[in-house]
Amino acid sequence: MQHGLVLADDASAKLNGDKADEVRPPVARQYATLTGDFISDRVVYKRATHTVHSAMPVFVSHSRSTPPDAQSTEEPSRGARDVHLGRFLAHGRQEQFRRLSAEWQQATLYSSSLDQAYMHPAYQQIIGIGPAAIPLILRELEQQSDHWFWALFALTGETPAEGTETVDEARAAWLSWGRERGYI
Amino acid sequence: MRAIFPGFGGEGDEVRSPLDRRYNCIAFAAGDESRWWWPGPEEPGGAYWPEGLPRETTLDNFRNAFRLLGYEECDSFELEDGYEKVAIYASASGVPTHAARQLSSGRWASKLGKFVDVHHARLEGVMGGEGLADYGSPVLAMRRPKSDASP
Repeated sequence: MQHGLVLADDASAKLNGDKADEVRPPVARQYATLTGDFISDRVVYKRATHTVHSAMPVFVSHSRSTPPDAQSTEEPSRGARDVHLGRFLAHGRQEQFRRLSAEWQQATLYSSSLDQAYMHPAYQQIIGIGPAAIPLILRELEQQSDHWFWALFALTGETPAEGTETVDEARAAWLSWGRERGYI
Repeated sequence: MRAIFPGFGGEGDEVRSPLDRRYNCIAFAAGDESRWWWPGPEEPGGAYWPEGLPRETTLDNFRNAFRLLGYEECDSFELEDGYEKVAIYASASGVPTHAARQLSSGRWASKLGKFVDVHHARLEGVMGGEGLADYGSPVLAMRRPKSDASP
């Protein structure tokens, strides 16, 4: 049962022949917890041990928690790989967003300047994530108020909160905008 | 706090509120704890700047914002009978960074960005930080006649 898949955000993505483990979901979660691997749905993504030149974490799709059918003991189908790749990339973006968001919040906690807040490198990198950052920002905004409004404007080109004078008003306007469009 | 603001923590210095991301130092100095005052870009919303003033971060613009509240420039940050004062801080390059308002005791009240409200005995109490906590120094004193409601 060998169908490990190394996924990275660069050209290092390649098929990998790691031996898979037979694990059930609870065991898989323990395994993932113990090893630091990432588990998503029914797939354990094992941390790759080789060096890659990438800022993003690299995981190897290691095994399924339910026995795959006979065909899938070979290489996974392209569709399955796409699903895994999609999940991996989404996870990578979430981690990247969390890290950048925490960095930005810490760095701007004592500042009143929106110029500094909006121009902070971490904030600019979040904008650089592109449209995939929109639901991540909106979910963050759901949790707590903060000045995410410029990033949302930059990413969407929309101005649902233009003219609002309070953080709460702008937050409500953007959350309403996001819900209407199915982002949250 | 001392790690961020080395000048803070002397006698009379105290934290007065929990963290609140809804208002900032300029709003707090202006007596408004419901809005974030900053002349940033208008499109994204979430910030207030007095109508008619430009959306630019200059000392002159901040001076004019407090003039609309009845303040006039003065020469001293010292306590004066019959007046309440605000102190505008700016970076070494002259960009406004912070504002504090004087209490009737002569101490100062500041909101530290998104963080907490503090009282500090000296204007230097919120100087000397690093990075984005670097408020520069007080460069502009403004005063207006005290009203009955003044703290």
